[in-house]
Amino acid sequence: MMNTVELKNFSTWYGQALVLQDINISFCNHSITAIVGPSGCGKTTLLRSINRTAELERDFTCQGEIQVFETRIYEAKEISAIRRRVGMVYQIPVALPLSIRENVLFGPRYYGVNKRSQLDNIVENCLRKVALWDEVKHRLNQSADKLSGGQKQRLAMARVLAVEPQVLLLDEPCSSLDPASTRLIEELLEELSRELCIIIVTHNLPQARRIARETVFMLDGKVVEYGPTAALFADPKNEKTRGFVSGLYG
Amino acid sequence: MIKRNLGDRILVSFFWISGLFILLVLVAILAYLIWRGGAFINIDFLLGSPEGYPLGSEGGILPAIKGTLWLILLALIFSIIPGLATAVYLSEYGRNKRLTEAVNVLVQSMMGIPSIVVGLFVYALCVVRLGWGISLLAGGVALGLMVFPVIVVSSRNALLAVDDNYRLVARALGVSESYIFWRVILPRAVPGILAGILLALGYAAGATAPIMVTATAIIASSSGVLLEPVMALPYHLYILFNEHMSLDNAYATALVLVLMLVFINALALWLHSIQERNNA
Amino acid sequence: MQSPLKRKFRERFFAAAVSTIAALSSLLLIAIVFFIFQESLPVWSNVGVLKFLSGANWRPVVVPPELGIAPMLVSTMWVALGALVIAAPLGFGCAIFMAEFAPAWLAAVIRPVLNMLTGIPSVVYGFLGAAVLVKFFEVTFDLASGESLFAASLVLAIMVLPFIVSNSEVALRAVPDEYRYAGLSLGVSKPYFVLHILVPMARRGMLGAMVLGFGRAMGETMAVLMLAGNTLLVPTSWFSKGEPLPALIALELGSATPGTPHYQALFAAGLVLLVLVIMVNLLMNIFLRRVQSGVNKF
Ligand SMILES: Nc1ncnc2c1ncn2[C@@H]1O[C@H](COP(=O)(O)OP(=O)(O)OP(=O)(O)O)[C@@H](O)[C@H]1O
Ligand SMILES: [Mg+2]
Repeated sequence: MMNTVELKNFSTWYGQALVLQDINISFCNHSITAIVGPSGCGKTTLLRSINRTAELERDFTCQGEIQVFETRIYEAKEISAIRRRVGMVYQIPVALPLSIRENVLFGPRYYGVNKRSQLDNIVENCLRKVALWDEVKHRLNQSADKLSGGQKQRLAMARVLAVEPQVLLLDEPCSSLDPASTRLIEELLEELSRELCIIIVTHNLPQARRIARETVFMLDGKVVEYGPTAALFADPKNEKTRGFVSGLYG
Repeated sequence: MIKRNLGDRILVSFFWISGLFILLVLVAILAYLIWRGGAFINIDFLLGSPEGYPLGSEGGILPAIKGTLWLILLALIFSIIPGLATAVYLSEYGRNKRLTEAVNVLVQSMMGIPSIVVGLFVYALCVVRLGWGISLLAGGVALGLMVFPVIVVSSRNALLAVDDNYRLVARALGVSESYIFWRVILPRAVPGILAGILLALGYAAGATAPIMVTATAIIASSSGVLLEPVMALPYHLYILFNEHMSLDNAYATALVLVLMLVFINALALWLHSIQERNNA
Repeated sequence: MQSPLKRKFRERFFAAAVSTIAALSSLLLIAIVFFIFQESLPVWSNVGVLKFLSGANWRPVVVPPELGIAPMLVSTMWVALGALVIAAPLGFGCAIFMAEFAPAWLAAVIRPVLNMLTGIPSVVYGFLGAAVLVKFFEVTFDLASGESLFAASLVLAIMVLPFIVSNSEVALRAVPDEYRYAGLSLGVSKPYFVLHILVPMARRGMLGAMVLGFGRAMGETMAVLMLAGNTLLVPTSWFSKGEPLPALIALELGSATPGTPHYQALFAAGLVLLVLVIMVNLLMNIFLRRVQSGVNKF
């Protein structure tokens, strides 16, 4: 299986504080990898490093290397091209203050698509992929503000998919959703993982077990253990992993 | 125990009194001006020219109104584009940059420059060195300089009030700052920016010190010629009173000026509330 | 379809333009200070800083000219401090009222009223002060003329009041609610809580508000021009007449011939005023540092 995203000795700092320390890990294509770990251990920072939005924060510095499909992204000149290839859905559902349709087309319009039929296609395809089409097809031109949290989160996914990323990063996409919407998004992810490399941060361990092929356990900015999900949950090699995972049962 | 109670009561009454005092001041000013000046405001006053001897002791204030409008227009022309550009830099491009701190501090300090000092600067530079003389143009420059920091600060705040998450999710798609700015941020900030511009406009309309040394004459036609002196409402008020021309006309002029500014301020407040509702 | 190259060019241009303008505009203040300094240079070298500031005589057109701005300097300070003495208690009282005691609807009425008050031009305040207040003094105390530093302070106090109120209110509201609950649950009365817990916590912001008011009062022209009496003597009491620096400049600039010591001295006076105000502003920035540092977070 091809390694799509690969981190080598990757460390980051916010100012003086070391947030990620010597991360060595690779993520497979056409699969879902879950990242779990206690709050503040650096999961979000890891994702944001992979699509180069962590550097928008004040005083961010990093060392080491990240490769996406063999490109060293921190050496690339075109940051925007990297960001486009590595899509990210953030923890808080954000609908841009535009219509539903324009939310989806936000990226494509920038990248120069402007034929009506093409645009219509993108809107329908992407909204179908995230199972939002049937709910909103009659009100595509209404403001996206009025959507529910779950709908906004799916819209955010559609907005990212519209620029055709190769890697999809999701930061706790279900944390503000009810079980039904969560289930829906999980199904979508499984569907999407046929085409994409998906990395998902989650606090919901059962969710990781349900959907992830591999799971990464992080603690204090370090990767403690990673491997096939079933094995990691059933028979953790590391004492700390065992402690964390057993929270699930006890 | 009883003593404490009394002390508390006195304190609370003092708080109430000082709160109500503010209301009283505005009401008193408006009421008094309307009482003394309201009767003299009519079409002839608003659309007539100064008459009588000395000139201005009778007649209307049209040239002063026109002059004030011209001055405001020039001030806005000189200040809006640089002001907005600076605000956009501060909120969109200058994040986490050294220059931003410096610009912020300098603009903030500029806001504190006494208006007479702005007048002094423009007098030396434009009126004397560049040889424009006392002129509409020099007054426009002075007022522009004066309101520039107001526009920067209010527009910057309006832009910064727009939800940062928009910037984040949009940047994550790989689109550029300027694309995000034009499509998402600016439309959200427009009411706040307009409110700031109105505020600046009101500020320029009421300023007297910087124009009395750079632009105004006691009598002028105010037809918009750039290198001629103009009349202006606030200066006209000063002259009417100080030269003992006509107390009635002074009250009427003050009333016109105050009504104009209260209206502008109310409009700005309304726009501001829209901005806040938008970005709540 | 728009070519990517063209877009990139346009974006670079926009970014460069915006950054350049921002950099230039920050130079504006420096340019103003420098230019005024340059115009006043002969005064500093011929008269000297100390003599200029402490000289009690202002006779700029006699030969040789006597250039001392002590009377104006004292007037400026006196008027501004006086305004603060009147405005600060009222302003703090009103701010506390709005933050803690006023019913929500009343606070919602007062807030726009504060804005309206700042919107009224200074010349109107000056005019009303001169036409009403000064007249009142003249009649009540049987004076030949009622103008005085006190009259100017009174009107300035009204003018700076809104600034003090709104900035103090912000400072008071910035105190986290936990302290309110904690303070009140101790069973102390509300006024006690306000005076002993809330106000000390908001101290920095409230001081900042006062400093801001002071800066404004020092730089105000029209009100002092119309109310302070315009005499060139060193004031001996709050009820003396005086001529603060802004009034001096406004009155004499038009009649001073460019290049003469008189003209240069007016710029020197302007520079003194400017430096005073900038110092006050920097001071305020230090007071408000904590409040402002949140602004640039991404
Ligand atoms: N912009 C920032 N500036 C400084 N420190 C930061 C910044 N963002 C995050 N941190 C710090 O970096 C560490 C990792 O944060 P991160 O958001 O990556 O954690 P996380 O694992 O995603 O936590 P959670 O599960 O709560 O979302 C934390 O200690 C946090 O305080
Ligand atoms: Mg996180």
